[in-house]
Amino acid sequence: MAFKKSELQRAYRTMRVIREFEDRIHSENSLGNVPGFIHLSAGQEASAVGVCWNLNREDYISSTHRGHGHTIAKGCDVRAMMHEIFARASGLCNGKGGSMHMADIGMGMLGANGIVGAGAPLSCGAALAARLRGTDNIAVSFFGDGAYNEGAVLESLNLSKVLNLPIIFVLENNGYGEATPAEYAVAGDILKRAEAFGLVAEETDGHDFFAVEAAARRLIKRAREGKGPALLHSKLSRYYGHFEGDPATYRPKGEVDAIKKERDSLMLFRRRVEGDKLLTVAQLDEIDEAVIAEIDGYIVEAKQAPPPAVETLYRDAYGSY
Amino acid sequence: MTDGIIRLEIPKFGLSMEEGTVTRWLLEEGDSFAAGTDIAEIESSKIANVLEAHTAGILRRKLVAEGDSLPVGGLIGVAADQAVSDEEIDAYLAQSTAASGSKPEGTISNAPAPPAEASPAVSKDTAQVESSRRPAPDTTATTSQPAPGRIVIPESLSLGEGEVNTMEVPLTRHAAQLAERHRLDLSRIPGSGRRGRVSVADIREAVVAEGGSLPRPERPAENVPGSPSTADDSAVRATPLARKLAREAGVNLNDVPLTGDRGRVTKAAVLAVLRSREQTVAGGMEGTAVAPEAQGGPAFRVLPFSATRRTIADRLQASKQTSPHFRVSSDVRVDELLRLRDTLNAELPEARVSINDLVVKACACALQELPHCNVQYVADELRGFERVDIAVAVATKSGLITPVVRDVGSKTLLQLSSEVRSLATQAKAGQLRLEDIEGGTFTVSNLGMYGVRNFDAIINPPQSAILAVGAIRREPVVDGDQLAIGSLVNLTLSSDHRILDGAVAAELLGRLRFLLSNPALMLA
Amino acid sequence: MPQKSIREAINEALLLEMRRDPSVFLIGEDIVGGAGGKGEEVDPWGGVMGVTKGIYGEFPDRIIDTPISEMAYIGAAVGAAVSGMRPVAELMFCDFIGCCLDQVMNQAAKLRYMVGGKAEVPLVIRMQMGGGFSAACQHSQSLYPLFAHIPGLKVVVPSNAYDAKGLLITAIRDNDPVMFFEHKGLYDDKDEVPDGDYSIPFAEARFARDGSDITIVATGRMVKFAIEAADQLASEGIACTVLDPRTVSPFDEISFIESLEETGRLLVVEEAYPFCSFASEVAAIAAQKAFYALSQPVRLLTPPHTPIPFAPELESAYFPDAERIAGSVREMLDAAAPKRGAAA
Repeated sequence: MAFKKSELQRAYRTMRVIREFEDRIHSENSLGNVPGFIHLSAGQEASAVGVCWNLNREDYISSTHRGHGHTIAKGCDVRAMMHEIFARASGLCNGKGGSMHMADIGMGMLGANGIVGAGAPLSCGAALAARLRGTDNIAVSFFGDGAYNEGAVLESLNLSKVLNLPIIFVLENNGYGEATPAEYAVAGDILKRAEAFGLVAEETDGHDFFAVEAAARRLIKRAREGKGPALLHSKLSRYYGHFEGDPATYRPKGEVDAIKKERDSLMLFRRRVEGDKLLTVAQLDEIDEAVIAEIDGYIVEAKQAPPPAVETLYRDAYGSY
Repeated sequence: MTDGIIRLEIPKFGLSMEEGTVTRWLLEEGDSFAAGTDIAEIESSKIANVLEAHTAGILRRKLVAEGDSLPVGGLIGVAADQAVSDEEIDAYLAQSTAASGSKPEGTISNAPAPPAEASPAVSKDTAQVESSRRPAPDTTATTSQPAPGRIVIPESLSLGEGEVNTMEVPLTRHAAQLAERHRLDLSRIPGSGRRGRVSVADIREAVVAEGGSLPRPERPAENVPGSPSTADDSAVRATPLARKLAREAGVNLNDVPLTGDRGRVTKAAVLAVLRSREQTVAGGMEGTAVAPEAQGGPAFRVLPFSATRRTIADRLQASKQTSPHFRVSSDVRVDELLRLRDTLNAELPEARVSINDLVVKACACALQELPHCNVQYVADELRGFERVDIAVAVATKSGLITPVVRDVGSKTLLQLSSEVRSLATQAKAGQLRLEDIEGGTFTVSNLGMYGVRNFDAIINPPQSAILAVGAIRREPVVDGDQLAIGSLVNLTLSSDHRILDGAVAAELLGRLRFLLSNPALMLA
Repeated sequence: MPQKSIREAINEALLLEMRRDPSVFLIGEDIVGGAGGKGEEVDPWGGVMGVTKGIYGEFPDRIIDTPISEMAYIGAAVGAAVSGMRPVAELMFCDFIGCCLDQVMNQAAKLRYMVGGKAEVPLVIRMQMGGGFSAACQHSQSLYPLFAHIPGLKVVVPSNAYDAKGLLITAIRDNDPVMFFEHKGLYDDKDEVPDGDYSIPFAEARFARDGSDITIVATGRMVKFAIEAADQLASEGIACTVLDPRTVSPFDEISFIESLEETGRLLVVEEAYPFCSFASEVAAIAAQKAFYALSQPVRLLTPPHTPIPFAPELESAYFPDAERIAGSVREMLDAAAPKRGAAA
């Protein structure tokens, strides 16, 4: 598929926003400025943006504990996200969710999730709702290699096929479920497991925006046409530990550095568009600078924003009680 | 107050009377009466009495039914002469109920009987409704506040004649009952619950906000906690030793606290319960705290707790809690006293003098001689008396009664003796009037007839002291240098240390002892 | 007014709401029964208790049989609710919650709060509870206190057909997740139930009996027993209030306290486990908010803190019944009278 120049700029910009968002939170967190648990997705940008590229606002995604990238890629308000990270009243969830529960139902983002694999049934439900309403909307469930062994995901694979739901399961395999390597924890063949449930299954290079986008486009189109669920195995890497503060000593020395040098998603994107003369270095650098300034602005603002009023503690547990 | 209208109220028969029950109306509406006519029988917790007319009039309205209880000052009826019309009486009632500040505190008055709700009978609330059809005359902020304890529904919240609540208002069950009972206009009462649901608290708040009053209904106090369980205790965890001990001693394991790290009943815990039971039994003179039977059947019967009983309980408890009791005790040789009594009774045909009469007489003499002991303590006020009034404790079926013999010092021994006997008889028959039992500075309580050697008595407030008289004992005594047989009585004087110091009490007891062992001095 | 069983009343409520609102759909295991099979009947089961029988004929697309995968289909119901539908999921037995508790406890219950109120989860999960059928440990529990513990969930426990219909309609129209407990021993109990649609607000208790001597709080099947006991006691001159909260969460605290202020005595009867239970919560509310209204200690009548046994003899010893309720009331009133006179 041929991308317009503006589309390429948008794709690169989104990936850059995710990277800058994550890198800055990493440093702010190490300074002790960010409360709570943080799981960063730096390194996984191409997968998030590539999959969401062909989604509409009315399509739903569910995400994982490592959900900032998906949330940004789905089009949610990055400023509000940063405010949420800093636990501000002006945050995307009014300071009630934080990093692990980043969500915007109105944008079709059913939420990051603190429970591994829990998003898969939710996405099944969103897909079922779309089907019952007679629309061609679809749902995507992002999850990791660790979640691929969760009953919730396996049950969802089966249910999605039984009910022929318009859903794409995106297995973002960054090689580690927490500290445990996927090679150790995932038995059998990843694609065959999904195929055994009757799903169409594909594998893609999760570092390469263009590869992910192309694969996701095919599967999404099938789903919209009512041809049923599919699994996309997106192979990629995360740059930081499982959580912020995890020194990731379970990874071989130099692993991350090598990936950054050879398989970095932003680098691959630049190499491609520069090589094909689709965007100039200057244009890309300009995006980088603008994004750095934008995220920096959000952080400055978020630090000064007021925390939620204590009265809000009692709100939102119920619509009415 | 409207001219010619006579308020008939619950009279205050004595200091401690707070409430009265109309037990019987002695007149019908429309009956005319002269001053001094008995209008109704009123009973307080201690005494039955009659409401007398102070002036002549016609009984126009009875506002309470027989059996209804109202606080002292509560309006039970209205009398007036022929000249006053029914309308004027209605207006008076409406006005007087609204102008609550002018009446004694705590009055419960009756609605001027709207046709729909004519029954004045006390409802579940034990209070009665007053529907103030006009605003209270605004004298001062405090007087326009209704007295506590009565229900006053402001007109602004009342449904008019023939009106009904048409709006569907969400209500709690009790709020619905209250609204129906008091004909409340629910459209005027904001609900604070879900969906604007109206609760009893909302109604109360609205009523108060409009200047009315809707107190919580009072339930009679009841229950003594800690009654022995009869439930199956086989499931209660216990050590084997504790279980065996409990079974033998008739203790239900449900009544024993669980202790130890395993939360079981232990032997020590069973023993502690047994000890506390023994104390309870020993502490209750009437011994109603019965140890449970070993197996089956309730271990006790529930006995009626009469108003007299309640009064005794309250007053004696108050006495023990508020007045610091100080006791002095002494044996008195009464051989001469006995001789004197025997002589009197043998020589005078009408005489039936008892030792107790002589003790009362001696007390009167001593108190006359020591006027600083002839005192009462009422509300931080020390009251000294010249006249000596002495109460005599009388045991009756319904409980302890202490009729007062007035001016003992001025009476001859025979007069005194006959009066004490008469009061005791009346007490046992329940015929005492309130004035027979009020006042006095001193009580004599004699348990000698039960063979009691000595005991402590509880002061009957606001009196200053009580003398506990034991049985006459024949005992070896040292008479000069001789061992002889003498008659002895123990006297234990309990005095209120707030007003009688120890030395003063000892002086009083010493004087009594001297008078009783030398009874001729009482003639002086 | 027509007499209908709880089973019929619930079925009627579901149908009425499905007709009224196209976003209402049903999902669960065998709620049609035999889906995709070759049996003669289109909906051979209509749920394991036949509650949803007959709905398939009218709404074949909106009553969905699922694989036996509670996590997936309860989760799908949550996801569908968040994305604009009004699913009514049937969990069959509440005992099965273990297979999908995450979706209920961590997803459905928390979603609205986690996103600062910007989500709604109009979900109903229907399930059976209760013993009395020798169904033993894993099919007899009454786990509603487990859910009442979790903020974000509402918990409904109807005791009769009229309430079941009205409360289910309210539950479906409610925008929060509602756990709807149906006692398996009450499905055939009949009551007067209007044909049309009506709703019963949450947190409004029903006074099944009025009396001034004692307040008996009971839910589900225990309401039936409490009424039997109250009627028996009435002939002995003991007047009981039987208060059926109908919704355990939210709880009608106001009516409850008003009743205590009238009676001064409280017996809580429950079929659920006693420890950290709804019964203990009710007692705690009484202690915190109506202590001075109480004239004697609160009493709880519950099963022992053990699993539910299989043998009929053991099971009948396990649950409270009318006789035990009446016995507890008598004991309380016996213990209530004053016993100590005054000393002179």
